[in-house]
Amino acid sequence: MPTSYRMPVAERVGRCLSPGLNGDRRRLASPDQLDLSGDGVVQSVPPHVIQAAKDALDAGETHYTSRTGVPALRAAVAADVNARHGLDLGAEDVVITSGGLEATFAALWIGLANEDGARLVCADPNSPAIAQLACLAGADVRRFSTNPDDGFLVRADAVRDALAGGARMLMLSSPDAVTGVSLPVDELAGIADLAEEHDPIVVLNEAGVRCTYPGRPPTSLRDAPSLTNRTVIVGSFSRDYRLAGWRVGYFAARGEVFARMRSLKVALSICSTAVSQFAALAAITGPQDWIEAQRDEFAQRRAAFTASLERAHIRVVPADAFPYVWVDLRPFGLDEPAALSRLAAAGITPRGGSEFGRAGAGCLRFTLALPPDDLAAAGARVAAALAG
Amino acid sequence: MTTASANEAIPRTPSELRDALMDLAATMSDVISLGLGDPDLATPPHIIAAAKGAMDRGDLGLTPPAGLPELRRAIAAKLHRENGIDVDPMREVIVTTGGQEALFLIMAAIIDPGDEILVPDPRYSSYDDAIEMAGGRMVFVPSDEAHDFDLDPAEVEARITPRTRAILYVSPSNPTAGMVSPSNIRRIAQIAQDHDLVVISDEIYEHYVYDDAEHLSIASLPGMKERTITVNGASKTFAMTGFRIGYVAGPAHVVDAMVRLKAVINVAAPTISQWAVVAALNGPQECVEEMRQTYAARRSLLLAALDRMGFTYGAPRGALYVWANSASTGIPSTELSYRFLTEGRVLIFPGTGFGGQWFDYMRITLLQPIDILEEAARRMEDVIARYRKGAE
Repeated sequence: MPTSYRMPVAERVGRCLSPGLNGDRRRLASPDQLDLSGDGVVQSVPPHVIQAAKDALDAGETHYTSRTGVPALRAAVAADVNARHGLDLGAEDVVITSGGLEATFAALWIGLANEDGARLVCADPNSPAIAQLACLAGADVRRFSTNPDDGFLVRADAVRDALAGGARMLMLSSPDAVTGVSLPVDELAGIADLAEEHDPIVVLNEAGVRCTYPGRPPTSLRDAPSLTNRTVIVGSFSRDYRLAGWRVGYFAARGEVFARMRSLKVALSICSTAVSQFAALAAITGPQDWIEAQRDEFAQRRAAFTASLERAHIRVVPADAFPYVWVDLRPFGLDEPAALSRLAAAGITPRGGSEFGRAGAGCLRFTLALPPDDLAAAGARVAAALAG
Repeated sequence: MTTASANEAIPRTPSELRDALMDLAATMSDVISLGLGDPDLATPPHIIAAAKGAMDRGDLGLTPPAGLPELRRAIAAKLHRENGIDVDPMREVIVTTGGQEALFLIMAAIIDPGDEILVPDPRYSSYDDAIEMAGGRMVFVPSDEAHDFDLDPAEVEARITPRTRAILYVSPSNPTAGMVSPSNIRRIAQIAQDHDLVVISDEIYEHYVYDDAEHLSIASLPGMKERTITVNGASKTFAMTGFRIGYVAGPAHVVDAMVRLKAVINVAAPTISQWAVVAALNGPQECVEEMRQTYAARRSLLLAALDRMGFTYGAPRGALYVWANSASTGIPSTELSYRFLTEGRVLIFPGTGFGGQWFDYMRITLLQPIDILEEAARRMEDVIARYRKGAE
């Protein structure tokens, strides 16, 4: 009998997944430090959403829902997606997931797993989770580069280069989950033509679609109608409706890929949390003024934070959506480690842009996670620290 | 629709078969469902109050992927108190989005392509999805009515190969309602140690045991904690399936692997649900015994009805089901399920939903109130009587 035993771990874990800290929140060194590295999700939920959640509990909605989600919520999501993209999806074409990332996982797994030589084409910079999920599915990742000098805009030419040689899946994100930059309308037709030519499954991640700044309309497939039949739309209630902790997302599409994703979702978690779905239903069908107010609030936060930076001639990359601000260090003659070191000394914690890919190297990403006045002061501290 | 055409129309893969029957039932009225394993009893009020309390406090943000520290501590205390398992809540516990996700995370964390997992036959077919997604291969260990669907250690050992990585069992069992006896659990523990295997112990029905049956957690046995992954959850124990909370206890490095997987698959379990389960585990437990007694009474009623119908069964020692042998009817259970649904408006899953060879068995849940269960039994008896009369 063995005297000591260490349970084996699958090879994929070390190969694909970042080492973690057992998932616990990082602890800041002192209370004076400002953590501007988080996800920026506002936690306060409007009273009518809370009341809907409580009412659902009182009504006994504490058991499994329909496996694909509460019908009324699926219908509301379908109506919302249809209004944005000019589609005619029904409730049966929507599956409610445990957050937007679960929908993304389902898309990547169904699109890429068990396919020899499967390749995912996606943007650089990007969420580290995407490459990890592709790796779990056994796929190769090829990134199309964006450039802070060009405002991280996705260009059809870059997508063309990445698609050369073929790809099973093309992932687009609008607004981009990492940069907050929407797909440029005048590039969409070119991207649609490339999709026709190379025939990938297209995943359009529009988590954060309600987080665009005032005057910045969301991307619409009306501008690229040929994409509609090959696109799986993925969305989330996390940042859009401040429901991150409630874990509600969705995917919407038709066809075989959708059907297989639906089966995977059911196999993975049966259905999504009942009370969360009723909160989401109230959020999407109830008053929307708080969503508009949130847009205005974040526009103020961005202006407050960037004012000092711009006065110091530090380049701020434009964005269509909150909650992030990207600062381009390169014209300033600073590299990322040096900048992070100076900011740490100044009590500010951003994320290094290289965490999100090569295209982010030489940049820092700050989250607008504080009220405008505090962000104005933080911006001044950042400007002073970077100016050295 | 004729029976023959019904049989052709109903898919035969386990998950598809159950889905097809549920979809058909959804198009009908006045159907009594004895199909899905969703407790009908109300979630206890102190758990609901805790969920509302979290909303009032604004404790709504994302938790760490491993789960709320408060919940992990509550789980560790529960495992110590009820199961004799001592774990470090911050390193050896992960909260999952239901028990089913727990199974997926476990398989992805420990199974490499080609690895073999020993699984009792019949089995809860969601194991298939989790194992297949990880590239593993199920090797079935037979169990039978004559032995009350206990898991025979000799049958387990006989199927071990160099590719065997784990033994998986659920006790009390879904679908058979059998239990692995404590003596057999001790023998399986010895086999796991002798052959250097992982044991995955699904204990989701641990509180629902009847008569003199005894639940034993294999991780509590000497030398087994480091080689056992214990799966459990709040769904069945507290009648709160809609909250979607499961949990896993295991070695720290394996839990860490699961946390890393969880972080990229769906980030974390729902926060409100986690607070509700903190209250469930830390709060009064009398509600669990009350529910157990309710299920026990229903079980007696259902067994009497099955006796009248000429069905047999292994002793249903636990869980929320009866695994009934319908061979005496002369109707394959896939067809009988279809007849029960279309002629009797009772939804019951056929045995083939839990393994291809189980065409003489059906899984019947205890998850309807006594009066509705009586009505379901009456309808089933009518269907069988009509069939037998027609067959004369």
